[in-house]
Amino acid sequence: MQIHIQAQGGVPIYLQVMQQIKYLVASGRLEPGDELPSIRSLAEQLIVNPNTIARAYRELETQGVVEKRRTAGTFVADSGSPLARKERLKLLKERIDQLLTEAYQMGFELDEVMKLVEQSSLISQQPKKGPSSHE
Amino acid sequence: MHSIIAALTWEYVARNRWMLLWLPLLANIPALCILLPLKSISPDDSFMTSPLLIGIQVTVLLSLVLVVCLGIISTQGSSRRLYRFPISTIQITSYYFWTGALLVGAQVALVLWLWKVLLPIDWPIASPVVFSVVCWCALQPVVRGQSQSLWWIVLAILIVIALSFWLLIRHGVPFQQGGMLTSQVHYWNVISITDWLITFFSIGLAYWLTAIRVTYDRSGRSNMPLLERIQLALERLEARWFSGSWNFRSPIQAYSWYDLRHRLLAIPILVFLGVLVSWVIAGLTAVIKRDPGTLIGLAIGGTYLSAVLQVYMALLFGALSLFGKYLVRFEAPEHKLKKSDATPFEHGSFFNGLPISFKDKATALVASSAMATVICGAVLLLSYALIGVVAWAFGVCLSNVKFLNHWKYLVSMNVLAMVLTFVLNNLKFSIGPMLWRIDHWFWSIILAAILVAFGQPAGICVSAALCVFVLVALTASTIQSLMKADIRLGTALGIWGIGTCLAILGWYLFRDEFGPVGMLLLAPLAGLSMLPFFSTTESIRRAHTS
Amino acid sequence: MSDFVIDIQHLGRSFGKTQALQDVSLQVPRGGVFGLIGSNGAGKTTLIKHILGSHYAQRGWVKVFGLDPVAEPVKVLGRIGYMSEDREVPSWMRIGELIDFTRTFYPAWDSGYATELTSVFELDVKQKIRDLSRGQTARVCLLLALSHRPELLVLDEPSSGLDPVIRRDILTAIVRTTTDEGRTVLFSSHLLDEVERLADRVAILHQGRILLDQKLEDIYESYHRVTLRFDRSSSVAPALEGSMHSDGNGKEWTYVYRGQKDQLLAASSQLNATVIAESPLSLDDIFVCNIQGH
Repeated sequence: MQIHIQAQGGVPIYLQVMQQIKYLVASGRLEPGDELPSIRSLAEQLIVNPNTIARAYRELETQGVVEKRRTAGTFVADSGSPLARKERLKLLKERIDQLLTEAYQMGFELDEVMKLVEQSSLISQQPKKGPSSHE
Repeated sequence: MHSIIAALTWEYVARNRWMLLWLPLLANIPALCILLPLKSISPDDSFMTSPLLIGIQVTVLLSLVLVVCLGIISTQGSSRRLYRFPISTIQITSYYFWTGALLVGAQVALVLWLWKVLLPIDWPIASPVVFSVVCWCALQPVVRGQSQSLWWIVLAILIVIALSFWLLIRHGVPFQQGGMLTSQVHYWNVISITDWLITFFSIGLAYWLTAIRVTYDRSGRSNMPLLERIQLALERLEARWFSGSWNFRSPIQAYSWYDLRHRLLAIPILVFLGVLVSWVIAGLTAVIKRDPGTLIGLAIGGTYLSAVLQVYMALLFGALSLFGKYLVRFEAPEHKLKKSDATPFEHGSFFNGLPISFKDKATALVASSAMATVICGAVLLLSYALIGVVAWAFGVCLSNVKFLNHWKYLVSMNVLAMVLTFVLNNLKFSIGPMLWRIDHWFWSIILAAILVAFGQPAGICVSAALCVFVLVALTASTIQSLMKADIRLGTALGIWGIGTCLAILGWYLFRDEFGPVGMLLLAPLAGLSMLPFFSTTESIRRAHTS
Repeated sequence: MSDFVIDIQHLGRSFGKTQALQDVSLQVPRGGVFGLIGSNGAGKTTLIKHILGSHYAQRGWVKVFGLDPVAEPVKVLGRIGYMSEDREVPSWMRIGELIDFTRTFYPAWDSGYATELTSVFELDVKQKIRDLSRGQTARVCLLLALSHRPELLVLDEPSSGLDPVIRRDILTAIVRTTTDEGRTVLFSSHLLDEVERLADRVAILHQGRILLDQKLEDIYESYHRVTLRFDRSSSVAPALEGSMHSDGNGKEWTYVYRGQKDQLLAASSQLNATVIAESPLSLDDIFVCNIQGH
C-alpha cells in the first residue's frame, strides 16, 4: 500500500491518510477484504505518530470504508454496503467541485466542461472497462 | 596587519587575565611548602646556604619553568585558530614565539623575586630567566602544530636532557659520585659569553624550526607519516588488548574509572616517564663513568625529582580544573561557545543526565584522586626498591651515598608530595568552593592581623592564618555534610581521628627538625587532605544544579 | 499521583539580566509525543535542563513523575532517556566502553536491546568516539538514551545538523517508543515538519514564554485562513476580532483567525464581509503567526 504524507501542506496528516486510503479503495487498488497494514507498521513506514494512524483508521471505520475484525486486524469493508457507496459518492462530488471551480476560474462554461467530460469518458471506455485499471 | 596583532594581543590578555594572574602565584605554593619548613630547620639559616639547597634550587627552578611554560602554552592555545586570518605564517610564529618568551621570562623573574623577598636565600635571578626563555623557545618547535608524532616527543625529551645538562654544568656539578652534594657546586651567578652564544644560537634555531613547523601545519602537511604509522599500529595493538568489555560492579566504580582515565591518569604516567628517563640517564652515566655509585645517586635524584614533578603536575591540573573555563572560550568551536559548557576536566551534559547520586559521585571522585596518588606512590616506591636491589647487587653501601644521609628528609618529602598530590587532585571540588567563602576567611584574617600587630614574623602569621582557615572550612563542611546526611557520623569521626593522628605523628617525628612555621603548616596540610571527604558531595550538588 | 509525566507550574528563570523563562506552565500527559517548538534562544534547552534537574526552579516548581528532579535526581534520571543538543560524549572512549560505562548506571538496562540497536545502527563497538562522524555519534547517543527503555525520552533538538538517513533513524525511534504503552517522548525542534508528523501535542516557546500549548488536531481546528471581501475598499485592514494577522489591499483582505469557525463567520458577517476563499494553515504558518503576533 503506497501512501505519501506531506507535512507542511496544511492538511492534517490523519486526513491525508484517510483520503488516500479512500482513494485506493475507490479506485479499486484496495479490494474489499484486503487487510490494511497494522497501525504500528504503517506508523513506522510513514514516520508518523501511531495515534494519528489510529485516528485515521477509526474515522474510516465509522465511515464504513474499513472494518475492524476482532484480533485479526483492519480490513477493507465490503463496497456493496450503502455506507461505502455514499462515501464514494461524496468523494466524487468533492472532485467535481474542484474541477468546476478550476474550470470557472479558467473561464470555461458548464456546457463546455460537460462536453469535455463526455469526450473523455468515450476515449477512456474504449480500451478498458473496469475502474480497477489504473496505470 | 598591525591591527590584527593588536587585536590578538587584546583578546589574549582579556581572555586570560585571571589565569595570567593566578598562575605565577599558584606556581609558588609547592616551592614555598618545601622551602618554608626548611627555613626553620636550622636556627641560624645555615641550611639555606648549604649545597643541598642548590640541589633544591635546581629542582624547584626546573619545575617552575615547566609549570610556567605549560601554563603559557595552555593560555595561548593552538595556533590553528589563526590560520583563517589574513596574516602571514611568520607573523603567527612570531606572535606565539616572542610573546610567550616575554611572558615566561617575566613570570619567572617575578616568582624568583618574590622568593628572594620572602625567604633568606640568595639565588640569582638573571640566569634562571635566561634559562627559562631558552627552555620556552627550544620547546616551541615541538608544541606548535597539530600532528603530534612520536619523533616530536623524542625530540622534546632530548631537548630537556640537553637543557638539564647545561643547567647542571653551569652550577658546577661534577658528574661523579656525590654529584649535587660536592663543595664544587655553586650558584649560576654569571652569564658567560658561552652562555649568551648558546642562548642566541638555540633561540635562532628554535625559531627557524618553529616557523617550518607552523608552515607545514598551516598547509595541512603531516610531518612524519612513518611515525604516524607506528602510532596507528600501537593504537591497533591497544584495541586488541582492550577488546574485552568492562564489567563495572557499581556506578561508583564506573565513575571513578572514568574520572581516572579522563582527568588524572596523566599524572602517574608522567611520574613513570620521569622515573624511567632518570634511570636511563643514570644508567648511561654510570656505564660511562664505570661507577655504580653514580647510578644510585642519579636514580635517587631522578626519583625525587619525579615526586616534585608530580606535585607540579597535580597543581597544574588542579589550576586547570579551577580556571580552565577561561581557557576554552576561544578554543571551542563556534557552536559550543556557551557559558555552561564543559571545561577541560568538567563533565558535560551527558554526565548530568546519568542517574548517580551526589554522594556516590563524590565517593567516586575522591576514590579516583586517591587511586592516582597511590599509583604515583607505587611507581616511586618501586624505583626506590629497585635502587635498594641495585645497591645490594653491586655491593654499594647505601649509607655512603651522600643523598641518603638525609633519608628522613627524603622520606618526608615523598610523603609530603603524596599528600599534596591528593589534595591538589581534589582541588576543584574540595578547596575551590572554599576559596570564595568570606566567612571562612574571616577568622584567619583577624588572627593574622592580631599576630602582625604583636610583631610576629610573617611566616608565623601566614601559616597560623592558613591553619585557622583550613580548620574553619573543615569544621563547617563537616557539620554541613553531617546535617545533610552526606556522611555517617562514624565515618566522619574516623576521618577526623586518622587526620589528627597523622598530624600528631608528623609533629612527633619532626619535632626537632621543623621550626614553628613547619609545625603550623603540618596541621592545615592534614586538614586539607581530610577536606575532600566532607565537602565534595556538597560541591557536586551545587555544580549539578545551577 | 497525577497522570502527567511532567508538571511545570509558573516556572521562571533568569540568567543575570536575561529572562530565560517567564511564568511557564506546561503539563505533559503520559503516553504520546510532546513537541516543543521555538526559535533559537527561545528557552527550549533551559526548560529541558529544569526537567533534568540541572537547573533549580527560581520561581514556580517542576515535577517529573510527581517528584522534584533537583531533590531526587537518581529516581528521576533513572527513568529518563536523554539526548542532549550537543550530543557530547567522552571522545576518548570506545563505543563498547561507553556502553559498558553507561549500563552500570541503569538497573533496567536491556543488553539484548542495546546489542540489537548496535547492529541496526551499524556501529562498531571497537571504534573510538572521536573517530565517528556526527551522525554516528548521534546514533551512539540515541542508543544510550533508548537501551534502558525509559519511561520518558527527552530529546533536545534531536535531528539538528544531521543528514536525512540519520534523521529517519531518530524519528523511527520516537515512533517505536510511543507504540509501547505508557511511554512518553518530549522533543524540542525547530524543524516543524518533524513535529507535525510525530507530535500529539505541541507547545510553542518564544522568548521564554509559552505562546501555545494544545493538541495538534485542536490547533488545526482553531486556526483558519480566510479571504474576506468587504463592501468598501480601505487602506488598512478592517479590524476583525480574533484575527492574528492580516494582509491584502482594497476590498479583499486575508486574515489568519484564531477561534471557532462559527465565531469567524459571525464576526465577518457583522462587518458585512463575505468569505470568498478559505485555506488550511500549516504548523509552519501557525508558528510564524504566533511569533509575529507576539
